[in-house]
Parts: sequence; structure tokens; C-alpha cells
Amino acid sequence: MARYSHRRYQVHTAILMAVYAMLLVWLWPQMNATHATGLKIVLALTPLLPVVAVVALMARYVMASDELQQRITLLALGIATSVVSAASLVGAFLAMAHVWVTDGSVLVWIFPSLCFVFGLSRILLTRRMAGTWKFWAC
Amino acid sequence: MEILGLLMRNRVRELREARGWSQAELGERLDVSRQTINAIETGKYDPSLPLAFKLAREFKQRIESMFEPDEER
Repeated sequence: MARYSHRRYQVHTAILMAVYAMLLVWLWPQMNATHATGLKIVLALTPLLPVVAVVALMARYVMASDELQQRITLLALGIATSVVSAASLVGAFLAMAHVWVTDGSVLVWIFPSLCFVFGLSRILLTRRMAGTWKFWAC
Repeated sequence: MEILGLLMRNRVRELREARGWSQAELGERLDVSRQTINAIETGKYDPSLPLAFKLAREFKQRIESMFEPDEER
């Protein structure tokens, strides 16, 4: 399989994230203005499309990388999932105890948090396992 | 300390240098990144069995003559 370069992955991801941001800015006011439940659901879920595309791009990137890169990526994903799941549980228990008052909108931070912890873990694991800070090369 | 599993000692660097190949060149021959070759050579990463066989085939060596358990670590 031809290697899907980090540069192309970055460009494609940046385009999709720009689309995501534009969709949020464009659709949010319309969603608040509409009263039809069906239309509200469509408008609320439309920004998910570029996010799903980013996840698909990431899967393509991982499948096209070599075994060390895959191992680093999967370890980073495991760390990110564990950390964010544990943090979500802490938040959930605090909310259930009424110590932390929040609504469902806080869930919107789960995916960005996962991406952040994944990125950080990947950089540190690349340093540890491949001996370089150039995480994009690994 | 390796993150998962034991590490092996290997002769990849010695054999690569004897042929005058760069890490990038060997990586291209094996369809892996230069960083992966570097990690194998510096003992930070043990290749999978298929990659170890590809390495042995590339250097026309027996696999057991290229890799051995590192008892000292």
C-alpha cells in the first residue's frame, strides 16, 4: 500500500477541521432559531460529518504506516482513551454528587480532549520508542 | 527499559554499514520508515517476526545469526 504521508494527512485534516468550524458558525444560529425537532436534529448533527471524515483519515493514515508507527499510534490511543474515560468518570461522579453543576454540553469536550491527550502521548512515545521528537516521521 | 516486552540484540547496523546503505535506503527496501530502522538498530524496538525475516532476507543471513536475546538488560 502506498504510504499516506504525514503532510497529506495534515492538509486533509486541516481542510476538514476548517469545514467543521465553518459548519458550526453557520449552523448554530440557525439551529437555535428553528423549532422543528427533525430539522434541529439534522442541523445539530451535520458538524459530525467532517469529524467522521477525520476519523476515517486517521484510520487510513494508521493502516498505511509501518509496524512501529502503528504500535506507537495504538499505544497513544490506548493511553488517551484511558485518561479521558477516567476523567469523564470523575466528572460524572462529581456531577451526580451535585458538587459540579453542569449540563450535557460539556460532552462536546470529550473528542477534543481525546485528540489532545492522543497527540501528547504520541509525541512522548515517539521520543521513547523511536528516539526522536519528530513524531510526524513516525 | 522497553515499554512492552524484552529487547533483543541485533546486527542490523553492522550489516547495513558493511553494505554502505543509509538507514533511509534500508527503510525503503523494507518499506518501513528511517525512524523504525533507527529504533531497531539502537535496540529501542524489536521488529515483528515478518519484518525480522525481511531483514534477514535482505542481508542474506539466517535470522538467528542476526538477533539474539539481550541477557544483560
